[in-house]
Amino acid sequence: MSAIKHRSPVVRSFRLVLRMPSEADERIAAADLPDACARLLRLVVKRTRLWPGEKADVARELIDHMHDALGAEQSPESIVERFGDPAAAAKLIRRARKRQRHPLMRAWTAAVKITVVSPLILLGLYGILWARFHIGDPRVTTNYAAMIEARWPDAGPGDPPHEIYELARIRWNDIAIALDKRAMQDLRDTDWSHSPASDVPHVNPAHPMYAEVVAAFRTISPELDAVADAATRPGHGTPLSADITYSETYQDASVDHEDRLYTLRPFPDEIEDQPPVWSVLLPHLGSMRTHARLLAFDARLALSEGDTERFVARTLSQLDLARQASEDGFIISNLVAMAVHALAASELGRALRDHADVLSSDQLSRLAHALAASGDRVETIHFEFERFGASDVLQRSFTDNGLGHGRLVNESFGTIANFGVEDFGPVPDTYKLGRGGRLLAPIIAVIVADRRTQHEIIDQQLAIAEGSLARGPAAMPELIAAREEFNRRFDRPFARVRYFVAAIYSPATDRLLATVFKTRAMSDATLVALAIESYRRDQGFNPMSIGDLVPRYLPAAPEDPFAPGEPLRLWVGGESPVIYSVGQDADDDGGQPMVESDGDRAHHSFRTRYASELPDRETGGRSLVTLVPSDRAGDGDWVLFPPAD
Amino acid sequence: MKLERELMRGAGPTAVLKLLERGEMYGYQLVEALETRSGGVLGMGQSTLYPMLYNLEAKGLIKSKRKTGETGRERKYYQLTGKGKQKLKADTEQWNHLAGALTALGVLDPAKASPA
Repeated sequence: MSAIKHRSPVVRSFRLVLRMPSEADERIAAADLPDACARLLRLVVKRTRLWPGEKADVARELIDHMHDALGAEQSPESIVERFGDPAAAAKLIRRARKRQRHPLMRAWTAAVKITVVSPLILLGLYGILWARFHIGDPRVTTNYAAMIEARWPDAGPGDPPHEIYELARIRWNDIAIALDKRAMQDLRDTDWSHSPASDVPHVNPAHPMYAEVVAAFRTISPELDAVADAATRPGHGTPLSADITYSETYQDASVDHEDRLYTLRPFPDEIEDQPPVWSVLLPHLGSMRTHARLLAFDARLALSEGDTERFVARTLSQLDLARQASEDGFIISNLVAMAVHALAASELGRALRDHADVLSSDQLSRLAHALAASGDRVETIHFEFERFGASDVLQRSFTDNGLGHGRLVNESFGTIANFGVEDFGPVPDTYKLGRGGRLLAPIIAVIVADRRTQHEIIDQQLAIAEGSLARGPAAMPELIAAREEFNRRFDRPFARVRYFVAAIYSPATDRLLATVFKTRAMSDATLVALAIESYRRDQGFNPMSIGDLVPRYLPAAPEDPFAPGEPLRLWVGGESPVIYSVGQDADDDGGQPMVESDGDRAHHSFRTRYASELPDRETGGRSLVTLVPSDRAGDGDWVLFPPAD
Repeated sequence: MKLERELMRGAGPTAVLKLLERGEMYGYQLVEALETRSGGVLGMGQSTLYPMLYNLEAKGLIKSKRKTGETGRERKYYQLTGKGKQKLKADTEQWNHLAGALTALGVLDPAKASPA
């Protein structure tokens, strides 16, 4: 009997690890077994994937067994047959022998796996994600830029309107900047823009610089005439461009203004070379807003000079500008169109407040018809280009399996994060992904929902907005609830990443429609004021209610956006009629305006108005008051006419 | 007749412990004993026996040592541990209860209880 050496289990385990890997095979070879038995043993032992010493032990025991069986005169074939399934045997032996290992050795093995194997596995996984991220290209198949251009009207021969606007804008800025430097402190500080042209409407005859402003203004009269002429034309002629180059002398006032223009490089014809439609620049919109303000000021000036025809012409030109902007078809252009339209309505309201008598009935009628028609135009929002824009980004960012599904790939980050800027010169640092961002990008790409899901979310938001627009203010509660749900959906850590493409390209539909309904109310109030003036001239007194104006002076009583289904209110107890909406508190305060608080301008919010009608589930259990700061939920009505200065 | 795998999984270890109760045995002896003494019912190949032995050893129910036997060949012998004896006793009791219950239910026929 051989002597058994007693070693500690740990030492025994180490010996099992450190023995020669070939020991088991050598034992089998030296055992002089029949080929079939030796092959079987080699197969089983190899498949156990145990430590070398463990394999050798197993081999030794199985060899003993086979020798015993051969000694009992069993045939090699019988031994092999009675052995059982080699794969199952190897698996069971492996499992059983691993249980025999010392706990310290098991801990050691686990530690090795965690520190060496796991990082390798993670690295391998990252490699797969990296390859997944870099392999595969988006398939750009639809030329949305061409589809947009095909829907634009032809601007006709000669300089396109946007160039005329740019020429006039620069000339005006030369004058206005000088004015601004001297008189800025006396001008009202508007909270939405500090451009000189924004301040001009606030210059009134009592202002110490008024004479200088008027004198300066007369020098740009030809440019304003050119703008008015350009505004009568169809809107387009502006190249669809994502690349603007300002002339070197753009800011140099000493250079003739014709040499101080920007140039727009049109989109390439080949869709592969085009930037995403979303990156389109619409520089003419800024010029249009400036011109609208200048036209408004000139209209006011004309009225003070008794030139009512010029007043009418300038007002109609503003409405032409609004039409032109709306013809772009982008939501941002619609917003500009609405702003220009609202400015014209507001200036017309001011004229009715201060100089109603000087306007002839014919002029009143022309203005009323033009304002009503313009209102219909600017409120008509086509979401088609938004869909084009979103679809274009998706086709340039995601792969496509032909069924609308696809994943985010490397190129997407250039497209989405840079909005196509990288295709046109150096990418600004603020847009560049840092090293960390580039490393994380393959992982982020796995989290991001696929192309079809992103598309569906964007489509859903646009469809809700379209439906709400058709239903009018009564749809606002549902729209706000849908937007709350949308925001809540993205207000989760993973969701922010998962749906970030949809979040970027879904317009804030509730704000858009709030703007539409508010603009409509302002415009409607001016139409009511025009109708009241016509009524007063005919009847000799003011109407008692808006209903008295229908249908002869007004086709229908306009709806109060804060009280769906109810008309705007009229109060005739004073010198001038007051036309108002009940405002965000939905309470008729008899035309008393909301008091501004703490320097905040009185603000009527649809979110405040309809928040109380939203069930808790729509607000995620949050207190409804938190939707709008409480200091803004003030009492009072939204007075639309007469306009306040 | 061979037992189904699940039944063998329950009965096999107890059978091996029982065989080792009388004294130490090596693998081939165990295979042969199980085959002949159970009438082939508990017969098992190496692929089943050795993993079972390793498991029993890992649980501390048996222990092994290499020694030279009567034939002059060195083999690995297995013997029951104290813990193994207790386990065998408990298993035997449970099998008896089970057999009694199955007999009472008419599943087992005492007349056919001996191995074929």
